[in-house]
Amino acid sequence: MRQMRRRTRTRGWQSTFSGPTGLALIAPFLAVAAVFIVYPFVELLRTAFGEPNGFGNVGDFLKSPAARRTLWTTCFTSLIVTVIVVGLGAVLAWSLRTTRSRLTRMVIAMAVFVPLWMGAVMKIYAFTVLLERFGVVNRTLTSIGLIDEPVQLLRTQFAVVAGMTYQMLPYAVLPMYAVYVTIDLNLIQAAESMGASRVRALRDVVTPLALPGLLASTVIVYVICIGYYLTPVLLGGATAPFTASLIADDIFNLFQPQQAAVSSVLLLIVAGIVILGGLRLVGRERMRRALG
Amino acid sequence: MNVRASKESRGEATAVPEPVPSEPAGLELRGLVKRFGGTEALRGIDLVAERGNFVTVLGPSGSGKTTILRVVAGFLAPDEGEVLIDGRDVTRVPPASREIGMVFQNYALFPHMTAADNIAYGLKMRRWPKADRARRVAEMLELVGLGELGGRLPRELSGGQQQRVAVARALAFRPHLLLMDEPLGALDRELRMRMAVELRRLHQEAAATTVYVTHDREEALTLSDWIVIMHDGRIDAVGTAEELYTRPRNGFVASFFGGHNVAEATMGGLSGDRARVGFAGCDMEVVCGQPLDAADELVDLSIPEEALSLTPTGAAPARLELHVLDDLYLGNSVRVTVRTGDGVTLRAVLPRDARDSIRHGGTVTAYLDTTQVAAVPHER
Repeated sequence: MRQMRRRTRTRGWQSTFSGPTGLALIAPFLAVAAVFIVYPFVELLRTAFGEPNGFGNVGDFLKSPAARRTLWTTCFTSLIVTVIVVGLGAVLAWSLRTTRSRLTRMVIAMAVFVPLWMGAVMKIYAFTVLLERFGVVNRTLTSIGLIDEPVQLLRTQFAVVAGMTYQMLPYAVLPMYAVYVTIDLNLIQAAESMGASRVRALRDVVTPLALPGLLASTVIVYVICIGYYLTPVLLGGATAPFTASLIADDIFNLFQPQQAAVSSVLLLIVAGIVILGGLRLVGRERMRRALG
Repeated sequence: MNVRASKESRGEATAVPEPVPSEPAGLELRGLVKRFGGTEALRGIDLVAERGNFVTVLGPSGSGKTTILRVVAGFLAPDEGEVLIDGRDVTRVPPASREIGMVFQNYALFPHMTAADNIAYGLKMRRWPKADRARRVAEMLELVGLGELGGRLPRELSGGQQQRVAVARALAFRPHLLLMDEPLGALDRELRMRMAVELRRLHQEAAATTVYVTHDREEALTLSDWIVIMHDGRIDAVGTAEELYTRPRNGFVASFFGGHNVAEATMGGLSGDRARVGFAGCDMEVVCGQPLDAADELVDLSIPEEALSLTPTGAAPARLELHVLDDLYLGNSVRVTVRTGDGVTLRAVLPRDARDSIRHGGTVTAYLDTTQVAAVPHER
């Protein structure tokens, strides 16, 4: 008995380590963060706001109409894509949540996951096949007589929006689904039993409960969208240059790292504003819960 | 009779002419059939519950009791049959227009609304003026004993308090029909019994026809005017608690509702609603749970656990020699498992002092109070 007691620890079990032990344990992570996140970021800021004009560099950059147009295209196209994706995603996720048919569930789940598994180039190539001059869409439209001759689909704004929507859909469906799962479907029936129509029940019960998730996926989708590079280049061509392709040009073709840094910082600022705006709208606590 | 039902479905419910009621029934179900895929969840349900009655639908899980409730509420459309509320055919009417209050098993309170807003929701849907709404909400909160807690969110309330809000919410707009789906299932035992008494009071004050679904026999006993026993998609029996307990119409009702022993006996003849039967070497005369066929060789006996005692009781006690298999001391009583001479195992509850006369593996002389025994059709 005495021996047993001697073995028992005196300190209660804790899930956290304090002081030097804790610091030592997270040191590898801190090192990685310092090398791959903090240092490049500081370097980026130094380049952007360094020679020749300091903070004036941004002003100089925005004097160029091409740069302004690119930034506008990036933000505006991303907005359109975000609205479509979040709208579609909300409906898809709700169907996934409420359907009792296994087939429907499988089809939606596949539609959501397959784009995630495919590489970006493959997805874009698929769209090229669909949208090219004698591609599937044009031939179908011609053969049913809707159009007389093939129309320009590839290398248009439309192609960019369609391609990005397809690729971004999972990023909206998955968070929305995660939020819907937490909503008790009996709530809808409860509302209906008290005299609400189905639409009214969805509006009064599901919408307020899903709102944090909706805003969270809006933020996620938008922030990812403004960094798109391949899709605008390959599907949009010269019609819709994104800031990301401008950055690539500046780095690899024009050798203007300073210009590239300014563009990057501007994109970061846009992303930061969107994230802060989202947090403000939903409240930090609810946002954290929605993001899991 | 306030509630009628028949095991045989579709139109035979009212085969016996009933006096025409002066007002339509609070709830009437006619030949309800509901299929899920290939299986029939409801196989022809006929039920009439008069206005203001408290009807409990009791059955094991999978018996179709919740399906009935969902069909009445309008969340499920029946494949056949009709639902009438206060004489109005609502079979094709959406839930919102049925004027029903519903209490869900997990309460389904709106988590983003306060208790008061939850209660006011049905009133808002009915476009009650704001002042009336506030008055009615205060009244309902008072009625369920939550006067001060209207401003709390559901998650800030205890289970019992949430339950009260759910009931208040369902009754606030004065529905014609109140449906409750195992509303006490999530509460602990003691609270459950207290809430059951409370529900009974609320029902009487609201005077709404109430259909209450549960698998808990005690709740059914505490609450109901009438008990409907469901088994395998059909109504097996309808009656008051006492009728069902003392004169079960079949073995399922006897064992599921009464918790009685069901044992095989030989048929010795019928006279009126009484049967002469042979059981464990004794001849006895017992009441019939339902009209029996004199040509049957075998019947089943419903033997309540408290029908056995060590001293003769009742008008015609039968003397049995029993082999004691097991005994369990319960404080104020002893629960024993015994076997008759011809090998039938029975459960019995004996008074505490019986403990001295019984021992494992021994035999004991006991008396069966035949006035408590009922004969039901033989099954198997």
